[in-house]
Amino acid sequence: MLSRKRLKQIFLFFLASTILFIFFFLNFNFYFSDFLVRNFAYKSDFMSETSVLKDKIRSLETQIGVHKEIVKENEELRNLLELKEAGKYRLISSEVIIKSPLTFNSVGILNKGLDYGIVKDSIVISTTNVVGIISKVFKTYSEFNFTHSPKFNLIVFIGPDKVAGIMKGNGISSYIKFVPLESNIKVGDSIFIANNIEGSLSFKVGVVDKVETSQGFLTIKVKNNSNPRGVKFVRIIKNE
Amino acid sequence: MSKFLLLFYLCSVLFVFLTVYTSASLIDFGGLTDPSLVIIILILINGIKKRNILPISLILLFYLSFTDYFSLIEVFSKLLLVFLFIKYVKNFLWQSFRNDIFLIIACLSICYFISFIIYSIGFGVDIGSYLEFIIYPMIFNFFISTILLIIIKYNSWPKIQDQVYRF
Repeated sequence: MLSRKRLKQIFLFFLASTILFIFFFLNFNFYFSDFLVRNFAYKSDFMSETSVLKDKIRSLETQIGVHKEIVKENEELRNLLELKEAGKYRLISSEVIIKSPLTFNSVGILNKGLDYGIVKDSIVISTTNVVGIISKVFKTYSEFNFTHSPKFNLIVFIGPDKVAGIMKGNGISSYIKFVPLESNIKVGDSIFIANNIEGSLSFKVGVVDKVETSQGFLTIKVKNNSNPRGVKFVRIIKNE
Repeated sequence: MSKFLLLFYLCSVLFVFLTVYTSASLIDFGGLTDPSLVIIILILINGIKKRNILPISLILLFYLSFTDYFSLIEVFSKLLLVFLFIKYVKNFLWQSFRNDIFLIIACLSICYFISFIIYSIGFGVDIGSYLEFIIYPMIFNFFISTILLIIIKYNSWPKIQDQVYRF
């Protein structure tokens, strides 16, 4: 049995840890140090010119940062424009509004439905990777299954040789089964959505994480960069 | 009912409802905390009573309504955890902080172990992928449960009454 004093110490320790965690989690240290530097840093006449120059450098750095962001945004928009020009897809921006907090949850609810022309089996992508597939569509919202869902099925191409396979989920991760043994597939090879139209863009699903042999076939474990727990803004691919 | 308990129930309701929204990711630490599991563990450790079964079932049903039938596996493992606790652990005295911590770890391990058995039999999940998937939720659930347990069990709302002195 722990003494009252000891309990108090443990409680204080946890309280301090929580406060510290929140402090660093919300980047308060950055704001705090920035505030201290801006308002309470020692400035003498001798140093004034230096500090003015430092301020100037800082503002220029900020401007460079902003310009870099604009360039990045431009690049993204150009990519989207290319997709539009290809004329085969339409991307509908959406937001994951509701997600059950159960640990093994594999379903998310999007804020776009039939009103926006969403149809069943449309592919949902984040900025980098495929996130899931639409399973149910309602008037104002739709449900989708994440890539790790056992309901998830998608035909994919693996590696530079475009070896075809069916990607499935097992509730925890995604894998591709029944790939022929003679296929030249290495760890790190990219996996894309199967697309038979020459010249059109393809969407990345993930990369090969592990290659195993079972029952005369290759079983490939897929590493998907999109975090199913943290995904929020997505785009739905609509085939026109 | 003390003011402290009332406040706790109020916070629990908010904790359960708000975590469904992805915009409230700061509350569940980016989806890494499972409020239903945390609340089940807290109820189990603080002494489960018949009247606790209804809120547990309602929370699980509420979460099930936003997901598919594969989540029944997780719900089953949680209910089995409650059953095992009532059957084997309830009669022991756990009035010690250290024992409570061990109990939280045991509860989490049992719950995730039951899920692992089902997933490995049903879907052929290997232990490596499973651990990779649950390690962060397990850590976060453990810390949140511990912090809440300290607040609920080892501290209480001040009971000192205001006194009027006459000089």
